[in-house]
Amino acid sequence: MSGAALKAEGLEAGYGPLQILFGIDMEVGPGEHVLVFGPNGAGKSTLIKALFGLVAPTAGRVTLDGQEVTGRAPEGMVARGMAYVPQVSNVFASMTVTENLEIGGARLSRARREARIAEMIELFPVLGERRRQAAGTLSGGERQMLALARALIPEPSVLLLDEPSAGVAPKLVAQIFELVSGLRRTGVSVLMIEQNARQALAHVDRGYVLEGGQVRLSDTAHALRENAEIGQLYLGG
Amino acid sequence: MILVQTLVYGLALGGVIAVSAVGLTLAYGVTRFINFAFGEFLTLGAFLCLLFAQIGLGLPVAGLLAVAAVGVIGVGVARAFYTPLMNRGLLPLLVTSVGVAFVVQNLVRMIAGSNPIRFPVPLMRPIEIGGVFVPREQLVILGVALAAMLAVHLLLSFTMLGKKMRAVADDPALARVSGISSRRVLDATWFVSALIGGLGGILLAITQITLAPQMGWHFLLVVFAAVLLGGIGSPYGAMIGGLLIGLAMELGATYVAANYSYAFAFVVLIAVLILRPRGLMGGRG
Repeated sequence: MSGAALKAEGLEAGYGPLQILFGIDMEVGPGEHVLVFGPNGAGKSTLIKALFGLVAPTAGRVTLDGQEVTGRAPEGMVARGMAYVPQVSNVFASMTVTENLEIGGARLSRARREARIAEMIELFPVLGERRRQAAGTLSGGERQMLALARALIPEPSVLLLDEPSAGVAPKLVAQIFELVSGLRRTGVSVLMIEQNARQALAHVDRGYVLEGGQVRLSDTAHALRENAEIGQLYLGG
Repeated sequence: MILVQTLVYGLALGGVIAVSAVGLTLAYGVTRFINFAFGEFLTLGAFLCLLFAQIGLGLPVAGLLAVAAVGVIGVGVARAFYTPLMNRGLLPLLVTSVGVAFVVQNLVRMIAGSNPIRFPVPLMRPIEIGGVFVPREQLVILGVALAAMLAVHLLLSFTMLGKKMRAVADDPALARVSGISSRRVLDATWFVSALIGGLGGILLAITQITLAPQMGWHFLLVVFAAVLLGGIGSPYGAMIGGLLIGLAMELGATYVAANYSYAFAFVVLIAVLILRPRGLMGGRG
């Protein structure tokens, strides 16, 4: 697929002398939802950070819609159509819901920003009801919606999600994955890393198994769920 | 009668403190470090205003030029001395800012001399309100201070720049991944912080009548008290804190002992912090 929305080739990264990623090759097609999973310490977080420019890659390339973006600063990534939702503290707690959304659209013209905010409220009606509320007073699920909406305001082509179900009440986890699935309507490509891999796999198209900083296996979500060995090793039996 | 006069003086002084405190706390909120050279922005504001007035400009024009100039100087100081140290932890920044304070203070002393200089406030007849004579310049100070605080409020609540500043203050990492260019927000913050400091300095010069190179450095303590009282990093807390400290200082000076007005600022501060350790508006520690 030369038309990949996001592509990593031979990506290596780490922290100082500690190398974490060893030559990652992966891609996300336009509108495709992809899960990266694997044991703790496999390098999932580092991968998502290296893709977004939060950790500088030491080798390899990252391309976004065919444009090389390797090692750009996050604000440059956002400007070029990548968005990132961090795992925790992903809303501006002291600011209102509307203000959070405005920050997401800080680069857009005023008219465009307001139009996008209206579209996001259509996508997540509960945010409309909470418009004037400080984001810090929202429930866990509402916060995730706000974080997703904020990231989607500039109409990114690729959305990176760092453990979207982390810190959410267990009964809400399914709801979060439904929300992410619902983003298919917007056409955005999604790359997500998750601890709750078994549940997350039910909502994505493809998956990559990461171990020791390398891609161990990649397949369709369906095949990965059917794979007994993968189930035992990485999906908790 | 004395009470009313004291209250007017207290509010005017409180306005001066509040304006200055807003400038200091804004920069703290966004950068997370206390700029010990902030007092020098006050000094520079006052001396530049004096300079512009001496070359024949009217006081309001001289004041506007001076605050704009201090804003630009603030960005220059931050880019030259603070930004390069931003990732080295707080201590180098604190020590550097103290160093900047002394350098600026001594530059001012070198150029203007160390004798106190009279600030050219035109003589104004006090106005009489219900049998009490209220000096007009105190009312002007209070009015300008309130207008400046209103302007800061409008900036923070209704402009994209103000919202970006609040976003960076709320969560710098999240602001960065949301696509906010922290460099531009930092520049804007330093500009606004220094500009407000310059304005505070001019107002201080009017209340004190005389200028001295160390005026801002000395006043910084009281400004700190207001910032801490309101809750560090909270602009609205700084406004309230400033007004309360000003009132406490004037009331204390009038009714208890005139030489200890600075002490009253800290009595109020300590009392409030015992009850509310994070300040009135519960800022971050």
